[in-house]
Amino acid sequence: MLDYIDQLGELDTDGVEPMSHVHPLCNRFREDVVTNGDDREHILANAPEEKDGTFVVPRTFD
Amino acid sequence: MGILDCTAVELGKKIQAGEVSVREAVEAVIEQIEQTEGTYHCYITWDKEGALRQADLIQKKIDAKELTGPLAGVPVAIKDNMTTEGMLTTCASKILGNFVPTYTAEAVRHLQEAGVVIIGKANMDEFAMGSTTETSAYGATKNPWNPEHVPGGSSGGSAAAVAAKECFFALGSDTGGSIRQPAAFCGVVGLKPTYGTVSRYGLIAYGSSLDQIGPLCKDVTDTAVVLETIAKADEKDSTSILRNDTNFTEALIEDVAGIKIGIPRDYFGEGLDPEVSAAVKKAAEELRERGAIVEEFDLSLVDYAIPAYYTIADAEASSNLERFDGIKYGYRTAEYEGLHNMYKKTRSEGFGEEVKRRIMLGSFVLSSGYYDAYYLKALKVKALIKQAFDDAFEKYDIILGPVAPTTAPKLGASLSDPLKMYLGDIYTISVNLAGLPGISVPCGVDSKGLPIGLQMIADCFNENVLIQAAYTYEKIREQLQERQG
Amino acid sequence: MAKEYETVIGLEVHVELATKTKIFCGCSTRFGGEPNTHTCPVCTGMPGSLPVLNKQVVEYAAAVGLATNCDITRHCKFDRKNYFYPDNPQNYQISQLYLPICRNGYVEIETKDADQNAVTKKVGIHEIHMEEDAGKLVHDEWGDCSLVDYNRSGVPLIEIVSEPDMRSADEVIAYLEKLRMIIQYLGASDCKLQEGSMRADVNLSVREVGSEQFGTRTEMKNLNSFTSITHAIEGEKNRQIDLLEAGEKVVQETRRWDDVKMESYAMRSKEDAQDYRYFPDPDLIPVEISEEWLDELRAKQPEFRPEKIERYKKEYDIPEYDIEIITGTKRMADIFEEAAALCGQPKKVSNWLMVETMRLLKENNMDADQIRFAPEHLAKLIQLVDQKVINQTTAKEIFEVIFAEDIDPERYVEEHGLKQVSDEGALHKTVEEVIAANPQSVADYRAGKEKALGFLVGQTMKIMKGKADPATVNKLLKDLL
Repeated sequence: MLDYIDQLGELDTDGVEPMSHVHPLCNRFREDVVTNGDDREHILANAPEEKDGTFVVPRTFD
Repeated sequence: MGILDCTAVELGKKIQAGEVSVREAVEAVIEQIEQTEGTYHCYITWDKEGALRQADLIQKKIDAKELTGPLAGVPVAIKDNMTTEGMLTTCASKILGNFVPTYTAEAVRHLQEAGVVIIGKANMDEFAMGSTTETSAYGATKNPWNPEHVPGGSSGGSAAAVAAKECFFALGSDTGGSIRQPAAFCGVVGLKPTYGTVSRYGLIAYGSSLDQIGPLCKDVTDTAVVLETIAKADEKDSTSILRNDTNFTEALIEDVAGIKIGIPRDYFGEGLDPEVSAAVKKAAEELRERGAIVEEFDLSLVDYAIPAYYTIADAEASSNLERFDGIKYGYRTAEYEGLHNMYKKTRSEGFGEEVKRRIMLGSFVLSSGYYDAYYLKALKVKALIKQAFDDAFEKYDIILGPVAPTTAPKLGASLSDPLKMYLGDIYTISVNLAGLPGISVPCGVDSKGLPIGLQMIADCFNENVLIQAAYTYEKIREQLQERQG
Repeated sequence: MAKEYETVIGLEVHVELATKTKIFCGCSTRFGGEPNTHTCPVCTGMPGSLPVLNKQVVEYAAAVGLATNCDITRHCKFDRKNYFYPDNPQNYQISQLYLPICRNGYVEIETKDADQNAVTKKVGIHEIHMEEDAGKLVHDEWGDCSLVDYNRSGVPLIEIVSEPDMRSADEVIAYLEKLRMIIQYLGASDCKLQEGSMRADVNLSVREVGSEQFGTRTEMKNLNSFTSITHAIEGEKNRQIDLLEAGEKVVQETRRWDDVKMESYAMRSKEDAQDYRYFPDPDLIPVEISEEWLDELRAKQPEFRPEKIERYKKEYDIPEYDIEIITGTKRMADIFEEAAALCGQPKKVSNWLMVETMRLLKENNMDADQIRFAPEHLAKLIQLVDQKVINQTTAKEIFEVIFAEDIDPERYVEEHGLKQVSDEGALHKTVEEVIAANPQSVADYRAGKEKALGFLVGQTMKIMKGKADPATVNKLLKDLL
């Protein structure tokens, strides 16, 4: 598959801007207003392991 | 005409007129599922009791004149990569095998507001990565036209469910052809809208800059109605676009006079099945006879679309799928030693082979040292492909061609050669790269009895042209069939 | 040791922005709260969730950039930094690598040169970018596991990356204080190291004086006070010099500073060899900052402390020391200016702020930003004293109520009948009574003890329940004795 992707190298793309988004849009914002409340029950509903409102994970070391 | 033979719109009308109750419609679908689901396996999850409960609730609202839209009471299948509150959503993966979302995808929410009855979640390729629905962790779906063949993918379950009458319409998602190709393989209509038209909130992401949700329906009229219902800007999706031209049903006009149709010569090279080629060319002729201006042209860069697509889609997917780590939801491996071992085992056990393959490829093309040569390069190629289409749409209103190089392959034939499978996306992929709308409509059957799809592509935001041309072509075929039989 | 070494320091400062909501969702950023009660599908990385950018974050980031002389990137975007860690719900952090919002700025700090002369030095700012904070990991003592709280996940941060222009701990502190002043004046953050709303990572290397090349640098984290920063810099500088003197090499690594043990140790280098696979986030679209928007932002830039101090020196006849204190925060400076304009008594306003206000802030564990009273009320209070409607003691009592409840002092005085008596005639009788009741003090005073007069004034005030003009009482007593 990688060889196949190497094909891209054949194309001359000098001076072409990489296009991340197809439409030239910008500036999509939200206002700084709190719209969410306490949704903890839902957020933890699918947790594989949960304790006192937190997600339990194997010990991490900083 | 039995209930199941109705289109969604026809059913909706009968329900509004009181000729058919919602319960009757749902029961008809359930009966069908009970008969054929064992063979076709269109659904991962379907909920008989839940559907009947919904039916009664919706009937009440219809009776109270609260639900008067064309889709009220109509049973639908939702591809299992769109979250549905309270209903298992797996993306056909083990890693989400127990995930019950607490929020519903925006597009599905719009359908619910219109009063549909969600029958269940349709089978798909795992995380939408595939073209045959064979990478599903829950078993393959079979093509209702011939169960030894695949229904296509990744929205194979959605397309098959419509074809098998296990629902009246379905929602699918399309990243590289995943609505249009299964629609073609299953003989139904499938439309991928312009990127940004339908909110992606709640659509479990594969290739974020390419994904779009769209309808799979029995005919073009249904397609236009469903699209109208779900095409709404969403403030929760930064890539969603506010459009004021979404009255798609107004484009259901039988007229193609003067519409300029371009057929890329590059699409008809070797690798294209002669029967498919013939059917597509015949369709073009029929449109020309109705007044369309049809001509061949050169659409360059066709071959580069596939490597560009896989680079971009897999890069984005490799990042999008990092969140599946056994911590917040989903599958977690049973035994592990330490955090990173837990990550590794969870993901190794939870993801299928194709998903792992694409994650690896995606990670590679983003890795330092390769980013410029692969990922950035692919984004530049994407820009060139868009340019090529822009140039083409200066001359043409519609670009017409096949949906896939063949009709539905046999089960098990594709997975042994992933590269060949990827090459099958050749006609659909560049449409996603350029963010264009594309539709697949049935245009015949091959000598094996398998459906052939005709693809039409329009410029961004021009679904109306597609719908008009597709609707006209559908009428042409209806009239042809009437004359013949 | 014949060689002379120079310390080269660069800083990466993370600042938590004072927005009400997170950077990509509408969850509250309020500190505290039970774990995971300020969360939603977006900031917990649920499948299908999507980010939407908080406009206020962009405004704060650009404001900080303007105040630090940066070029504002007109077209900037967000990138994903991919790495696996439980405090990172999507296992990628949305940040800005390729096109950060601000670039190529500087701040000026006051420092001393080799001869201890005061000089102004520019510290370059390489870039400022927006990014999201991670959640919090707490280690569970009972189980052998860790617990994740995503309340902080998605809180907006700006990261300010300096050039390696600093050469000493003093310069580092001066730089941090300058940044803090600027950011606090903009209202963009309260910049508290101890609370984590400002975090400084120190990148330090040493080289021989005169060398053009940079030495290998180490990064130090977990520095949450100016003293620990100073200690860490000293400690690491010495450690590196010792290594080099011993003929060894400095290893590029991340080190954690222990301010109790006064030493650093290498952290598990999980991040050092990591490839973050940065790429533009496809779920977010670029931010375009137009000339108009930039003009609006420029217009909103406040007068910062150095300029304010200079102006106050010219405009107000108050001591420099006072000016330093009241310009410590923009809030206090604003209150000062408004109150002074209303009552025309800048020195008195300044006194009230420096003495009573600061005292009450300290007692209530509050910051100047949390002052709730209106400048008009302070101004009126001062006027009431000037007009001798109330005396200073009463004024102090009333001020406590103004501070706590922002009452209108004029109305309060009326409602509670706090007007002081200053008419000599009205006070005469009481003063006479006091003189009669305290023969010893009278004698003491007449014998030359000035203090005794104060006692008699105090007694009078007591009888008058504090509502007498002490000056009048004083005069009366003197007259009568």
